[in-house]
Amino acid sequence: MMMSRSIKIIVIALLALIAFKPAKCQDKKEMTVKLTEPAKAGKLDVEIFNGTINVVGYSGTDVIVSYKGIYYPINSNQNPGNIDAKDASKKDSNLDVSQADNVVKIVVEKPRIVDLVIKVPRNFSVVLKNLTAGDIKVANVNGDHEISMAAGNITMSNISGSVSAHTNKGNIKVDMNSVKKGTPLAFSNVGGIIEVGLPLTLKANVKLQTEFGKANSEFDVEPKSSAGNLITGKINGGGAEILMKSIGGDIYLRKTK
Amino acid sequence: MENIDLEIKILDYLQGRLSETERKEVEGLQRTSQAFTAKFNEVKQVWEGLDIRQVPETGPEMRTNFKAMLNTFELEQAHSQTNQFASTWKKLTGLLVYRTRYNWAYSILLLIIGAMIMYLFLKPQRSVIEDLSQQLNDKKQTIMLTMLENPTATERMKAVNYTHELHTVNDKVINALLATLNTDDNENVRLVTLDALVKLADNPKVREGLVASIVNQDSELMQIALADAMLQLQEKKSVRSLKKILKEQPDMNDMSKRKLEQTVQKLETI
Repeated sequence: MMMSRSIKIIVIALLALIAFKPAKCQDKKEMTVKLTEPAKAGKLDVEIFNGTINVVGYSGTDVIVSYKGIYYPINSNQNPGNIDAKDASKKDSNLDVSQADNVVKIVVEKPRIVDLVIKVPRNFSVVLKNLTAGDIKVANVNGDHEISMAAGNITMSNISGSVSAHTNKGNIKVDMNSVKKGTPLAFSNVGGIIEVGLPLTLKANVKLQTEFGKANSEFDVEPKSSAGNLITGKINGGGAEILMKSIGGDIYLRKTK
Repeated sequence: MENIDLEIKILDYLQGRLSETERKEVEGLQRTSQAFTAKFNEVKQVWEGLDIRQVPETGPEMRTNFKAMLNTFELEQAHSQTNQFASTWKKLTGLLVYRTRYNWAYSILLLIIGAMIMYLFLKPQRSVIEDLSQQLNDKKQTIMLTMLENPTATERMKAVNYTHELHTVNDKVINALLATLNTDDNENVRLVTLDALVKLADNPKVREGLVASIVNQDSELMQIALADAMLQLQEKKSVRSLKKILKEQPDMNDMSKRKLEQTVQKLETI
């Protein structure tokens, strides 16, 4: 009698533990995050210390996060830019994911390294930050996107809404299908190519500036004030400000095919 | 005293206001006392003298005279009034008659009147427009300051670009822009803010803020962009800060280093 009663208590306690388990993933390669309001637009907010982030918009309503694992570098004092270090040790594989009011937040702190692949609904704003090094890819999303990283390439395709992208060392390649009306865009790096494709009919005031590279535009910029490394003026009559700025890289403003 | 009483008594007697006994007493005294008789005659004389003054009867003759006098007076009055009007009118119309020597006086008078009309009617209207435009500007500034707090980077850029639409920028806006330049965690927002502030560099506070910001920036891109701005504004005060960056960041990208060195060189030769 006593035995069966204590077993019951243990079972109930275990069930309760499972039910109130926080959004924490242990040794799992994939986890699904439900949104508070699946019908509405959401936001993905990721900040990692090092690694790659790959975000893709899809037709579902959940956010699906998968990752290869979270690694510590062999020596956490060594240059964190060295991604090979992740082969050495795999200690803590927990990934903290939280969701509140349609904002999904993932933070991976120093000195851990992670490679993330995240599927989000199409109407999602993507805010990604990489404090050291790694590449970032974003595709098929509509929202206000902000990408910033210390080193690595940024590749964005089939994008709608607005974009602010910055990397210190690395290329920026962005293709936009449509731009939120009246919203500025900005792309900047120190070294590396900046290549941005915008809709044919977009009205904007553009400023393409590079110190040591060359600025190029497929759009007719009026009144064109060009000095090889600087192009400023209006496209399609003018509108919101678009800034493309580099120190050493070439800049290409293209028409989205 | 007795004399006065006596005189009153005599007057009363003469007017027949005494009682029978009093009258007899007076008549008795008249007969017996010589002094009384003398007094009596004296009073009687005065009384009769008074009685002589008679008001003449107002005959028809007198009335006619008076009327004639009155008419003459009225006529004279009326005549003198018309004369006054006429002379005033003459003076006034005289002013309107063209006279060369009054040309300047007229012109100045008209100018003054015109100026007064302008002041009374046009000035308030213009100030209403000014008020409205000031209100609109204030509203824009408030919107801009609110937008600067937005968590989305592109919205903050929009706020910064909004300053191009303001015809006047107050200290609040400048402080907010300088704070954004120094503390916003988005590199692109800081870049856009720098562009906006360079356009406001006529304001000495902005210039000072830009120079002070050089050492606050930890990214190469911002440091180079600020160096560029300093060159554009010919701001020699920035040389020390730019040299400090070159000294303290030896592992800086070669291109950035070259650009900074060039800028310092150019600024020093100004």
